[in-house]
Amino acid sequence: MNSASFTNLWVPAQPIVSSYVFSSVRNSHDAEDLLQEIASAAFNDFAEFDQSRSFVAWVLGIAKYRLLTYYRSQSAQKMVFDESTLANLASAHEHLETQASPRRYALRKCLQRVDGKKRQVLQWRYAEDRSVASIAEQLNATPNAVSMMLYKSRKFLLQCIQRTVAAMEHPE
Amino acid sequence: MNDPFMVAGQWFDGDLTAQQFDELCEWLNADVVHAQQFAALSLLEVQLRESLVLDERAARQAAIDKIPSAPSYRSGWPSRWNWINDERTVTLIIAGLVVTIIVLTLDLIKLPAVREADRVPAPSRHDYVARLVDMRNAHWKEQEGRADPVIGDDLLSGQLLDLAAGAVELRFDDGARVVLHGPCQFQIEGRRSGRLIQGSLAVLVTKPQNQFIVETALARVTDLGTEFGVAATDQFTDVIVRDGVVSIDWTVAGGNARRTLRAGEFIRLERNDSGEVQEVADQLPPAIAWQVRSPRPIASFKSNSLHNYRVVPAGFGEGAVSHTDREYRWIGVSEEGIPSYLVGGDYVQTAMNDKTNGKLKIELGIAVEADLYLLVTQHPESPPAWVREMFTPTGDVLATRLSDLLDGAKDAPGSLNYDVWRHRVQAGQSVTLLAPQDGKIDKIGAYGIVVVPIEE
Repeated sequence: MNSASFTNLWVPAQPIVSSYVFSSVRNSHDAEDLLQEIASAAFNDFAEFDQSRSFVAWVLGIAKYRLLTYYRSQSAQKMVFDESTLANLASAHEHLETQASPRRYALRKCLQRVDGKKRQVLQWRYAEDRSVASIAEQLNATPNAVSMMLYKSRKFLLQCIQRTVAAMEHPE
Repeated sequence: MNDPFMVAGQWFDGDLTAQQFDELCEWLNADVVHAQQFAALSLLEVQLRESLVLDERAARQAAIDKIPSAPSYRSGWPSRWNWINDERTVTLIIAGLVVTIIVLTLDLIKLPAVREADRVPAPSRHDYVARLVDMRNAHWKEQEGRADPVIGDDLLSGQLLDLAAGAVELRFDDGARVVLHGPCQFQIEGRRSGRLIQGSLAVLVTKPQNQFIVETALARVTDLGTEFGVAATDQFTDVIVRDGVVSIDWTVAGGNARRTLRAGEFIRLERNDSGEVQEVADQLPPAIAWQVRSPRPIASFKSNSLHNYRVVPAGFGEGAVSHTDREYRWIGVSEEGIPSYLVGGDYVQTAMNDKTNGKLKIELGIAVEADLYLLVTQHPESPPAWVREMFTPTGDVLATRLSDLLDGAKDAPGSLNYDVWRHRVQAGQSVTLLAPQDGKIDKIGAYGIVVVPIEE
């Protein structure tokens, strides 16, 4: 197995691994560093990868180990998942293995149905990385109102993505 | 606890109290479905950032492109101001891209392609008009300075796809689905058009208002909300319509010619010795005769599995991917390969992770009279009683092998042999398939499913 084989497996797996790491680490800079460490460790250990197994599951195993090590180094940080929760999340992400690409495509379609203020809030939150409090100030609204708006948008997008992917997999 | 979905969102917003965090953990560990919902939300977070950051960058670039007095901006490189802004806003997407670039850098073979891409202005997001959504045994011809397309790649207007073998499926932004069958050279022209230089393809347009056009050397084929196939070289063009209506335009000595085809009709245009294009009365053109198998036998698919299953129309054959979650492929175990009666059948890529799922239930709706083949692992405990009651053994055997071993020994390790069982199904009938086994027995894989219509 060569580096080209690794690249072919890593590129589609990367969104799932990113999702796992960013769901488990609140500090985005630490999450970036961890993601790079995981990619590097997976590349170095690639010869040990059993190709009869799922590549995503294998990398998520590496990621879980790195996350636990990171948590131990952050003992003052109270909001960290325990080992059992991390394992559950890894398993849940493994379930998404084949879905990253169709979901990304579906998201593009579904985003076309979000406009007006809701779209503007998403833009501020995700493209500009602004906090809920900052958006609330901009809109002269309460943080709770912004949280509720984000909640509704996320819920709509998840449901829309689910329907779109289902329609792609089993067209009428 | 408040709505767990609300709390999960607050976790991603960095806006959670310690008590809410404890409640979130409790909810996550209470049920595997909760963890899956959280993972889906997390993936949405990552992809939202990626998508909206790209939107913002594209919008900014479009605005910059409209500034006539700023030629340096049109080079495609961001200004210093823009770059600083981007640094602040694209934190997460950079993480993903940096890791990918590190990996690509380690891959010395692909390094020149990356550098070449760096020299030219990056395409605007609006130049992407289609996406590669599926590949079946696909091999690309090498294109200098460009990596082989893979599933999930966005495809540019003007991009040439040079498929040496196998099949790939493209989804155009305006809804058309195009399947290229190698060898095939196809150039993407826009959201609703492409040029077939050589080879054959099938088009399915689901939105009648979004016409799709295939240009060939001899003609322009315009669908009017339909499903059709085209095969072409610089000397001929074949068109066959499976559903709906298609119009074909070509140039003749006195001007333009046009034919309108309806479902089941076909046409062959050829260039004669004097270089003129003419319609040829012919039998069904062999170059696209394979596309006439309508309707598809698998009309519907449902399962209670948590894993992914995929129906592949007319895709079964040597080297077909067997499972959605493993790198195995179907092969024949004899010199003749896969039995000919199975080749070209609709099949289902099943989930190997369901091999120990004793509660698995699959329902197949069958549109036409067909033979349903179940490929069941050879094992003393196999097949289960429900298979023996419903199916008849054919005596044929297939196997799955790891993708990298396809060219290697037939008895390579890590593979499984499967017996082929048959069950005749009437048109419109629904069939229920159960678990491959009742208990957790090692060495029994998830079964394969192939459906082949009965030829009239």
